[in-house]
Amino acid sequence: MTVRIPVGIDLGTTHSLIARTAGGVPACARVEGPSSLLPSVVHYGQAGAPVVGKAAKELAAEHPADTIVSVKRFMGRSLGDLDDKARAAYRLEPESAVPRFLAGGKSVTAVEVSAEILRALKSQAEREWGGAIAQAVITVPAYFDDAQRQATKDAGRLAGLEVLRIINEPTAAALAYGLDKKINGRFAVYDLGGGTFDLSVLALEDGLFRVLSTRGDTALGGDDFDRALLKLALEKMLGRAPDFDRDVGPQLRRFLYAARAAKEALTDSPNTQIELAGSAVNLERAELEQLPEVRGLVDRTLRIAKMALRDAGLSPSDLDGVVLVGGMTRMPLVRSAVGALFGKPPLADLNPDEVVALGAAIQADLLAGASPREDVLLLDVNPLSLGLETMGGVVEKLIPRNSTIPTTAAQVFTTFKDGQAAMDIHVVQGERELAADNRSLARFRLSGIPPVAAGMARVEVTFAIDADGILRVSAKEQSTGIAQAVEARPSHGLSEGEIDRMLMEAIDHADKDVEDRLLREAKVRAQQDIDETRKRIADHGFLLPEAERQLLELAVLNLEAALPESDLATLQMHQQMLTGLSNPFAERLMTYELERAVKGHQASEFVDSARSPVGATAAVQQKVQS
Amino acid sequence: MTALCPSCQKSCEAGAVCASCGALLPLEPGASHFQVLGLPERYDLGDDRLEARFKELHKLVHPDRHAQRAPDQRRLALQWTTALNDAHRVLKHPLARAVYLLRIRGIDLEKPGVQAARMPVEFLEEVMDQREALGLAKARGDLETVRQLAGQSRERAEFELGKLREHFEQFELTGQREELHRAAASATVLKYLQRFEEEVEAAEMDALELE
Repeated sequence: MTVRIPVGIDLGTTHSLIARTAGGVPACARVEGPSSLLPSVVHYGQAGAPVVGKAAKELAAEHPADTIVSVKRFMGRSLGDLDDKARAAYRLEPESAVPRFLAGGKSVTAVEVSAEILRALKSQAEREWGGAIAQAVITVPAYFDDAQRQATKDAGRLAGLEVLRIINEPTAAALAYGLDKKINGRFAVYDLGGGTFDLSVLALEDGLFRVLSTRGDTALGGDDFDRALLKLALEKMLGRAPDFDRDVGPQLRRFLYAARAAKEALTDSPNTQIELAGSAVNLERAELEQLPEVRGLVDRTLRIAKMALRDAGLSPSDLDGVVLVGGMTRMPLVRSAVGALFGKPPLADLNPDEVVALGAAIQADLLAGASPREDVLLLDVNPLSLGLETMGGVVEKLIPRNSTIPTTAAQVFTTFKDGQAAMDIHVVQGERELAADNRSLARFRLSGIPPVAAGMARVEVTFAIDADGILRVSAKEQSTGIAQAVEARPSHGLSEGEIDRMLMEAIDHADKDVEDRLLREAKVRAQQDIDETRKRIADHGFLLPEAERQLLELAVLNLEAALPESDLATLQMHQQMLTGLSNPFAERLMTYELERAVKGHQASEFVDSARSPVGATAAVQQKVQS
Repeated sequence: MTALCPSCQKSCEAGAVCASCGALLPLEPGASHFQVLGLPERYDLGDDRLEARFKELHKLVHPDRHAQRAPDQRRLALQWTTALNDAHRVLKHPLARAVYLLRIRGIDLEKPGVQAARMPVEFLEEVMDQREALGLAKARGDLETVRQLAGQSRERAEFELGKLREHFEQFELTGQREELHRAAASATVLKYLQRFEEEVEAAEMDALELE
């Protein structure tokens, strides 16, 4: 008898998490070794199932076009929506409106790539918890538009999940905070993730979690800080402004990983080193914080925060607190800027990486009814206004932003020509006055209007937003009752038929795929361990007693011999043995390096000698303060 | 008013939920936003009361509360919640509430031609001037002037809103339809001002994007 577990999933730009509640307490599954963070990276090899997570990330530098990172930026986007940067990073099918990655000899959409991440989370969690996962609440940035929400829901279905609800990340975070810390009052949630930023204002009272307003930017996140830091490092290294095409080229992804690691190191330490293409550069936190790009990014989040407050009719001092969500909020500059704006130190007692998944797990539990809680209710809003294009390309708003969902609105339009037999209906989302400046969601034509004088036919258009924030539009001619309904499935989304076909294919291959993938991932990781250990022995073997060194070498040989086997258990056993033996070595190495650094060796010399083996990961070492 | 609960067949008070069995009751077809919220049909609702009813009802009718119920109850939950959110959205907004109240009292401002007829010429001229000033400020990227114009417009709106409230109060007190027509004129002025404010906001957004 298997247990059925409702789960919450945070499908993030840089990493993804899965959580459930047990005994009313939410917790994340370990999905990547001991970590709850699965890198949102999918590698498509020429054969076999795709590789997901850390193993895929390791392959990203060497196979950039076959390895999809930050796929979230592509969700619900058409080829025309993408900027050159995004387009240049992959091989994309030129003729397809829905971006299709040509990776590992296949052609896959962002929805399919995301579904791979969801499947990996699901299978890892099922393994840890020993139950079957069928129902999930998946989170999206509050500022995701209709197409992006629909794409996320499709990815869930494709991964074999019943999507109980799509909820907003900041709302999920507030739920986790509200229940865990028992906070009451008006709160702002400042959510700066890998690729998106949102600020939501919520009222929390007596178990009612109500979003008052939300604003955001779906293209502002940690990635932008990484890029700014990389630019700084290159500038210091080259002594001039870098030209990304010439100075970086195909190394870009490797360099960006190094930049991210350096940025993270600067969270706890005032300075660090970044190594790019064999040379190391010192970086200070103060330098990063003074970069105009970095200041600009932080300022932009503050401006968005002010707009969200204005929408809610509040000023910063009206708030009882501000909650930090997303790994980027660990950056000291971000914390101090947020603290200064709101006039109080922000709350960060819950792990900012995990808090969204934890909140989603609570909501999943509420919806699946495993332990119904009468005391908690979540009321969310639509982040962007929905309207129709009218005469002269001007937008008539039917549902203003920050309306509590689910909701409906209707408006009557009349014909403008005598005998007009059809009316084109263009649905747009956004705040701008002209339809062309907003996001186009759907176009359809209501035909069969009776031939009457201009202004006499009356067409009622109804918008309905469901609890997932997804829109349905219908139109009806009032005298004849001719009606037409469309789900606002944008042209760059996937059709129902496409999803069903993918679903059937996925079910056919599901079991084999999971096994294949786990094995492939394990093999990639084993090879990395082998290479790394060999390199370490070659460089620093002298630190080990002879017996220990021989044992370690034996473990490496054993693991290598197990590599061609297609048996996961054997491979894992040998890998664990190697890990067990190399841990004490790593400690010795660390001690040795620390001593050397303290004795006054040049930091660059030290980094050079400890350079990572295959260069798949650029080494970033913290300089020790003496 | 009492009715028979379709779920338990006992008679119960009209409202969202049957007092006997806790099942959701069908939503009366054509119920006004006021009826959905169980509030009197008048302009001044008292902000607190509207918010309190909104929250109370959500706790009773929200689909999350009925996720495990039979399909017809889940459908009712969605209907109730949608009606509740729609009613709240309209009634919480001072202008939208006025326009709605006028409509159910027989004055439809959305009808073509109705609005322009109610506009005093001086006001139309004033609006034209303001729009021109906004256009210029936008073109120059002069955010300061844009904000100044927004401030003036808000002040003007506050003043008109006071008049609107008074006319409704008078109507509710005396039942004179002339007061409703005066309220309609104020509402029309406010609609123009709102449009202007939306434009100002769009201009501010543009400026923000450019910064």
